[in-house]
Amino acid sequence: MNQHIIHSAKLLGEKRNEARQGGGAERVAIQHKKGKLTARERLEVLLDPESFEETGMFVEHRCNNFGMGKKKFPGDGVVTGQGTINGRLVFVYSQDFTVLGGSLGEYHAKKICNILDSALAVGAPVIGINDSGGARIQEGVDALGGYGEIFQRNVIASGIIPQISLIMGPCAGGAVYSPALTDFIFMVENSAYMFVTGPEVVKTVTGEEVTQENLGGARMHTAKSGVADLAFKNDIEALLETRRFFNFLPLSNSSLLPRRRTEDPADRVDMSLNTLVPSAPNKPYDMNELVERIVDEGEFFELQPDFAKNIIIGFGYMEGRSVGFVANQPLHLAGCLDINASRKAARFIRFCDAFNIPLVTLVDVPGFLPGTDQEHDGIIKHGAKLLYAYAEATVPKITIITRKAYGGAYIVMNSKHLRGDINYAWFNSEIAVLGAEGAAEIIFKEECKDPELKEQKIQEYRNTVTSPFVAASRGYLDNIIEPQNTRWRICKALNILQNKKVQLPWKKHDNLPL
Amino acid sequence: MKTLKKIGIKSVAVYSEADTHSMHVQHADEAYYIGNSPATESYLSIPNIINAIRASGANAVHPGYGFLSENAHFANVLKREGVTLIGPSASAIKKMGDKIEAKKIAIEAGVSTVPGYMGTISNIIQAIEIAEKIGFPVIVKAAAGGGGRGMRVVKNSQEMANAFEAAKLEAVNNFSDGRLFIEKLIKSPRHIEIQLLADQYGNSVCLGERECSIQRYHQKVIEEAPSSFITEEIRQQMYKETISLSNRVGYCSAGTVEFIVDLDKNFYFLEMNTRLQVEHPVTEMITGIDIVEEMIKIAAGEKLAFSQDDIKLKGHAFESRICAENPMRGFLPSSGRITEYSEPPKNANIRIDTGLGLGGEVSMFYDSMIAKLCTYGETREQALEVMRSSLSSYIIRGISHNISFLEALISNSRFIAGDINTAFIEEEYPDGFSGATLTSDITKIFLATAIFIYITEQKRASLIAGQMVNQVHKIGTRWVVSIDDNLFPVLIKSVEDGYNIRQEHDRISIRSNWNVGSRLFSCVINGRKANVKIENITTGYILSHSGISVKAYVRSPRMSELEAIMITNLTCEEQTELQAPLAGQIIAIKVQEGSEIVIGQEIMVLTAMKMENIIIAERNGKIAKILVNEKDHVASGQVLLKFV
Repeated sequence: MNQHIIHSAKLLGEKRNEARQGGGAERVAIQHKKGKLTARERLEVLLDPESFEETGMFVEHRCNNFGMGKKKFPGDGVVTGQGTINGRLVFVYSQDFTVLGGSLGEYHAKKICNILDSALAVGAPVIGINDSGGARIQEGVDALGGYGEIFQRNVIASGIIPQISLIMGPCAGGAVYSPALTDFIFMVENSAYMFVTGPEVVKTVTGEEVTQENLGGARMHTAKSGVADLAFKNDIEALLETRRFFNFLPLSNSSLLPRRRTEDPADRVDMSLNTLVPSAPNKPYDMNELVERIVDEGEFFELQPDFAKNIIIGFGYMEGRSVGFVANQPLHLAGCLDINASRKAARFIRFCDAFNIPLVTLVDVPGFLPGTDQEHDGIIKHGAKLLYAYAEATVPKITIITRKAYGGAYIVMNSKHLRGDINYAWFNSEIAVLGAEGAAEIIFKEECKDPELKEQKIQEYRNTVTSPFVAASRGYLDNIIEPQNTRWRICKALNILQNKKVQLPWKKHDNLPL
Repeated sequence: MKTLKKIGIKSVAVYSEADTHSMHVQHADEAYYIGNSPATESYLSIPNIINAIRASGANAVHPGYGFLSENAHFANVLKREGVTLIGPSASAIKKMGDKIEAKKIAIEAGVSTVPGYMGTISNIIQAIEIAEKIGFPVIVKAAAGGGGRGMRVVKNSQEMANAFEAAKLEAVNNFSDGRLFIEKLIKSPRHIEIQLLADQYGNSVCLGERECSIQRYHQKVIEEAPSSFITEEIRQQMYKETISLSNRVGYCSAGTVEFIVDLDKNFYFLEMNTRLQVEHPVTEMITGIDIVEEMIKIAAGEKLAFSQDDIKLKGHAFESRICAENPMRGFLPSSGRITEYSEPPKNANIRIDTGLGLGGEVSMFYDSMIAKLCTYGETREQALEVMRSSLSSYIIRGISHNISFLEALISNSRFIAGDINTAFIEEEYPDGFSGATLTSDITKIFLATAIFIYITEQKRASLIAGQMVNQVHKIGTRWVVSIDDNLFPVLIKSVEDGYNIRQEHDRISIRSNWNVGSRLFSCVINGRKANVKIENITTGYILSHSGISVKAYVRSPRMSELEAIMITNLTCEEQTELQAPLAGQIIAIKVQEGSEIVIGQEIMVLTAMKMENIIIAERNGKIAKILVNEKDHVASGQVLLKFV
């Protein structure tokens, strides 16, 4: 009896130790040489010290094809479990490239599915660390089925718990679709790649020569395709920033918003904002400055900063509560809405709405971007996504027009007509179908031939149509405010709207213009 | 304007397009717009200014210290308009404005000038004769020279032949003018100037001297009063010559006579400034006299209310000129919005004059000076200490500025000892400024600061709502601080208001009431007060103190171990060309072929949809070819330029 207990304890120790070895010292050394951490090391950085509770440590595959029966590793190439980030619960899985190249087989997939199921049941976010050579080809359709099971769970969990994908190695073929279904994708430069087909296949099929980095690297996906949200220099930076990002997210769609103590006064008046908008109407300015000046302590967590730079999205705290920001950026494309900006902002708005995060929209928009490429690529459908996202969102919605809101873009950018809760405009802003100058040129074609008379007509149009007082007189604006008061006005509005509840009529689901 | 308010006179300001939001416009009782941003279309446009004077009905004009302040024509125009110029007569401005005439008048007035031979020298023998007369070492200079070319230092008569020929050849080659002259070489010269006040009745007094030896390309950087170098006896001699020169030109108003002073305290006339000087506050601080007020009274025909015997120099004052320039990049001027501006806490020993503030725009059209910071103390050491603490808590963000450079200067041991001359900056920073040297004491300050702010942030993050029940997230006691890539393992103990930190054999105690998000970290480290400025960067901080900036990161020992695995300096593929982000017209190209650019630099301005779009560099590099011209219409995606 005693002997048996001693033996069992010893066996447990040995098994655990074996699991912790991953693919063995040699493979770990190769992983390190590439500047990459192992699956377990990544979790050590991501989670609070000693908080990790591992599950499925002894799971093994049951494939015997092609000598696989002799290549069994406890854990089957993915480390799964729960832990905390700054004391808040999170479910994690981390693929182990040192074990069979991190390849995904039936049981590897099952472990990930278990994590998704538990997270959904408990109501806590999932962070998946991807570093895998792809489907384990020896397992054939079992591996493919595994992907399918994961995708299905990603979709079920979408909108209920936040899902974050960290890409820290290869992620190719079918594997890309799990991250694509999650809410956020962060990548590591020079070591993470995402593509449906790799450079070799591309070369065989189309004859194009392209590097992995150019085809699916972190820079490409954060600047060109918009697939990924952020790119980081290395594993450590990616993991530490994910910890910081986690601070802005609620644990699920039924849990409270994160609240954080702050010493930054809610009633802080900021005189610098009075001179933010240049006196010349055609001069750009940096909208990021406004966001940073109004959020708590100037801490703004921007997402997709290199993609569709004409619109800014990200999280900040306002009076200690997490808020999502959407803002036109006059520094790029004059802040116009185009296909990419519409897609980028629409998805962010839907995330915030799903998780009850209030939205603050800062508007300075001259309109939609004209051009054949925009029209041919379907700006109508893509622009509609943004419109749809705002119109369907039921979270507290606050809008500040800082300079101008013209045409269709005025309506789209969370106007009163799309049930904006509190809509303000800075006192020198303009709201109209188009700018005063353009409008005067159309209405007063003859008069505008005389420069002096033209100036007079522009002024006339400005006073009777574009002035924010006109919009305010119709009730399309709730107030006209001084720029310096923007922070406390938003804080107050958020407090008022704290318990906002709006019920949409029952439907199976909506039909977003995809 | 503060002075005007004090003595009850209404003020009128003039402003250009770029200065619409400036402080002088806000503080004045009335303000008049005088034109576009370039100074030639506003502040230097006499007709525009006269129009403003007419419109406002102003009785008098104070020309400040730049632009038209030493313009005799402006003085004459004002006279014709019947408006008083708060300054000297047009004739005095004119006489002192011409360098050669000024030197002649100075000699006539018995003022010492740099010994030399003003005529041209025809041969080597004559050159040696003259040099022996004024005494070696001398400088042989090209009459048309400049920029150090055509100039030779000659230590003795043997060297003269070679030097003379070489200088002549250079002069002919560079300036097509072989005329040479000889001046005595003043070694390690100091720049010391006397402040003068003279009324319309022939009374004049000197308000002590100012030493302005800390200069960069003839721009004063730090001034002080009195000078730590000259004696009372020398001061009195300088007074005498100043008054003699003032009388000679019939000077009235405030003026400054500049001297250079050699190692043996011999002084030589340099020039006279017939206006208020930027650095006048240091004189006001040690004499208690409001120079602007006296200028107004003198212009109004009042007599000086005090005599030379009433002037007592008390204490010591410094002025630092805070400028929008980047000391780490060859002092390149910087322009843009001031997004954060916080002055040091004021007291009677601190005076800050600024025209810009929070939200102000540093325009590329004018001088780069943002503010003057003046400090006072009973002794030089005390005044310097006030300067040190003021600079360390002065926060300006949004543009580059020279505060770190000023902090490095005043911490320089030669500066502290008063061992300065006009070449001080070139001598101490021959390869430009790259930050002061990191000492072990300052490392300790950075280390403790990094720990304090990091742990404070961590403690707060662990209180975010939604904590897992019955599980306390503990914050560790062992950490590794990285200061500019040097690792320091520490053991910390949390105490009230701070931490006790052990780093090998050192023990550091740090106390502070810092709030997360504040850019200024004020603390007491091992019993001594210190200020550190904080900028957040990805996963770490940039900390600045005393003219040094470092990158600081705090990691757990395990994380630090793992971080060593990371590969640094992986090169990414860079873009090789720059494309137009949208269709429009190029209205400005701000770079040239061959120019080196850095990330964030403005490259071109393109207008589209009636809006200006600034095209910003997204990589560092050198421009090989620019493929478009100003006014060109470009299509979206069109290549604008190629990189090397």
